Amino acid sequence: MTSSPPRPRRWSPSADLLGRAAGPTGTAIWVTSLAILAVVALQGGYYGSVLVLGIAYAIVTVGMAVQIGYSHQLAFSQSVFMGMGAYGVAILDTRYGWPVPLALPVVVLGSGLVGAAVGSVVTRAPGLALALATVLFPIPVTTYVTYSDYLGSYTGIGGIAPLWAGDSASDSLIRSGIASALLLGLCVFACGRILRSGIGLELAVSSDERSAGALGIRTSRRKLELFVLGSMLAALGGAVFAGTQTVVSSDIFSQVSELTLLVMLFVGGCRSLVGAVVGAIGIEYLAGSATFVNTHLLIIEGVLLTVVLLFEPGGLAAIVVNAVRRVPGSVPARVDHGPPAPVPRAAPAGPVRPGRAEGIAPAADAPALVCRGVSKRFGGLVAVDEVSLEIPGRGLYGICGPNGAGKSTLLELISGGLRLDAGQVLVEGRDVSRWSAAERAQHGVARTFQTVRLIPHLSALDNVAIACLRSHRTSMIEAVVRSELEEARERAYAALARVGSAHLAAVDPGRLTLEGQRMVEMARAIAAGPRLLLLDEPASGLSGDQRGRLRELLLSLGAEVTVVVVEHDLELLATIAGQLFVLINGRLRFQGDGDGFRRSDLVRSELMGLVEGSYAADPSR
Amino acid sequence: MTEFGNLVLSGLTSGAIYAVLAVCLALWFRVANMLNLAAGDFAMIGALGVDLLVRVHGWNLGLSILAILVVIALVAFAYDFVVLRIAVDWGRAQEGIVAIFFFTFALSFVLEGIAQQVFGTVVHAAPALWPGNALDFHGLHVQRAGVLVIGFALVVGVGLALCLRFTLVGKAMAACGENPIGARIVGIDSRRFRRAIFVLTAVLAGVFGILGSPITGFVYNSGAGLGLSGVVAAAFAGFTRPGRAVAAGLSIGLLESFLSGYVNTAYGETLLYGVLAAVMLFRPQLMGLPEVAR
Repeated sequence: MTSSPPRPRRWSPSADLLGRAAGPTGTAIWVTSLAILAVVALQGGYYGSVLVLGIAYAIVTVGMAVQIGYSHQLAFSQSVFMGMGAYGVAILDTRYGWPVPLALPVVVLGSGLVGAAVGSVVTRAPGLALALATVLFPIPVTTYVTYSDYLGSYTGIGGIAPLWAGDSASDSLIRSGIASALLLGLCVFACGRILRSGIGLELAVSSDERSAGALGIRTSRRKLELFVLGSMLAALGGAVFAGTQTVVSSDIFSQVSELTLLVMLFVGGCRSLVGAVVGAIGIEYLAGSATFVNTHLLIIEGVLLTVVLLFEPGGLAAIVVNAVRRVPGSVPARVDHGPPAPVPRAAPAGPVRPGRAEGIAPAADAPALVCRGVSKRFGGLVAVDEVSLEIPGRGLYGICGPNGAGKSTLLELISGGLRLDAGQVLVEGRDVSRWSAAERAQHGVARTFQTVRLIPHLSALDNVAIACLRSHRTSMIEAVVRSELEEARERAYAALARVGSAHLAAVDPGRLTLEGQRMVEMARAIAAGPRLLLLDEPASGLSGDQRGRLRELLLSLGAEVTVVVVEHDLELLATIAGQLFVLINGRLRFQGDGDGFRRSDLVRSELMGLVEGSYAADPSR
Repeated sequence: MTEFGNLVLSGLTSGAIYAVLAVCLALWFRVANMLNLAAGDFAMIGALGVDLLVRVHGWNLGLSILAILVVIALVAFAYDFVVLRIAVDWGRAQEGIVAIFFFTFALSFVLEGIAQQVFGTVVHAAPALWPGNALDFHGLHVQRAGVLVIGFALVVGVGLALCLRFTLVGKAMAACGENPIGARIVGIDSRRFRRAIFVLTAVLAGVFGILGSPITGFVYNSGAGLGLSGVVAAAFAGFTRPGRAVAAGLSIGLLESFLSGYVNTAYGETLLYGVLAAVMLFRPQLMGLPEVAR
């Protein structure tokens, strides 16, 4: 066994921003201690109360950074949940005499339940519908609150006990401020853990439904969890608001406060937790410190938001990170890639390991893949017409045919990217016909795409690591408690080494050549240890040399797993595939081994006529 | 029966404004692939601006209207020239949904902030263009401003529909939104179209603000609600089909009118947004939104 190339000691994804540069614990401790110091230093004066208000908003924006910045779930319901938290605490305290520290967790959990109920409906809607529907939320809620005497109508509710009462008003403010800073630290820690765990990687994919499905990620569940997380943090921010300002009114629900929250997030940096905190406290401080700013708040916030989006969508955090990177020697800008490793002839990193599908025992002697009468129609066009085929087990299998023959559609039907109109697909004896793409991926069906679909801004290593996460099945809470990212990266590194691309681990996929991208995608497909590997035109766009390397790799993969390759390169297919299937106009017209393929009249007339290649010129090979 | 008739009439009147805003939004979305959340604010500027010039500065009504529409056109042009040019043409904007939402969202707030400073926080309305009491047809009350709004909405709607369907300009416009690069390759200047439509729809919104303001009156922040109704109506047309946008706008106006008339005056708007949000969430396929959201 050859030794794998030396592994870089630190994998720092190149696009990491400030919030992820330090660990979650360190960041949380820094944020908390600085906030407490500032609260104590300001001595409970006017600016102290402004700062504490900023901390309350910061708790909300930290949640928004995860929800909006990292996973692009654009929901405008934060101000409503913030109001729910604030009014919840206010009512429990003033009407029922609950102490605020007791009311706070109850209200936050209650809002989490409401968030789960609302979220289970709204997160099913496509992105823009979610955004539009939640933009509407504040209007009815504000109207309701201003008409409701129980909720104090226009004037709101006053006289709420402080979060942590002291001897005097300023003393209470300092103590409550310290308590809020601790809560903020807790939120930063929790969100930091989520982003640092495998979930952080999953969130980066969740906006691309096709890739997510192929990787076995159940996006619907993640979306709901995100919505609940955002709602609970917003409610917590609102509860802290009530417990430190001691008065709440319907202003907190308004669309203006929603805009303020967005401006705080984007100015600070929507992809950075620290940025979100700095943005919230900074904007609040600005608004509280000058009357001019306060009276012209709408104009200033609107202009700020526009300027940030135009010139630095990453906000202050990105500006700081870029500035620090420019200082020589401060942060290694990029991990040294080293020389490209030769493509290994033997498997250097061991065989493809049985992955997450290991729990399910394959049915004894069941063929790897069976399609029975599989059909798919697009309107009047029958793309795949009653295709039946059986693939017994390990080895390379080729599917070819002219353009538009239904090859890629058939692959989609097997991987679950498209739903079957008729027929059955069995993978190792299990009928997966009704399963989603994510479920099939978890059962061990892995694939690559015809046009490479890698996630930008994540290193090649992390792109592969996503496939190795067991967390697809776990909840976000588990991910906070126990991260498995390092383990996933180990496996990802082995998979990259397996396809001879370990030296690319730290590179952003946008900077790779097409061959490099295809190799990373291949590593992603084999990393989880699939039962069935589906490759959609792996050779297209590659040069002769590159095809040679691909051929070696395919042969060695075929010795370990079942590989189905859709390809236009007939020469490649005929020389490596144990069995070939020819699709023409959606029908399976030929199946047989390489020799039969070469001799077949159908293949000569239908395929060779179309592909004027070296193979057709030299049939003796 | 008379009450029903009156509710229908008032619903159609506000619905006509929503419909026009929705058409403006759909039109611009077709060209620029962006949502104009500030359309309602241009209506607000039209109404309050004319009121300011006539009532405070004693200008002639016609001159005021002309001046305000010119101001609106200039503001829209400047916004496109400065912000959208950098965002879209220089490729600075983040892709997808963020661009769709935040740019004009921010514009909307800036306009409201300026309006707050210039016009104050009191409800005003532009002087009626067709002064007099409501017309009375056997107990049915028809606001004169309502007649103007509905009439002009018909003219604009039919005109735009014909233009889109039958003229080369209309087809070129659709091409810009379908495939901006393709459109540019065949020689259509999608940037000029984007700018022209943005200015045109802003002015149209201003006109409807002026026409319709005697009915309800405007404050500095009433543009947001108006614009949102327009956005929702346009959403039900998948942001691309002006005809369906008109139908959706009228239905929303009618629904609002019935809800406040038969259910509860105070909560009419609240219920409306509740119903709209529910439809949007439970039946997103009604809107053809999935493709848009990509």
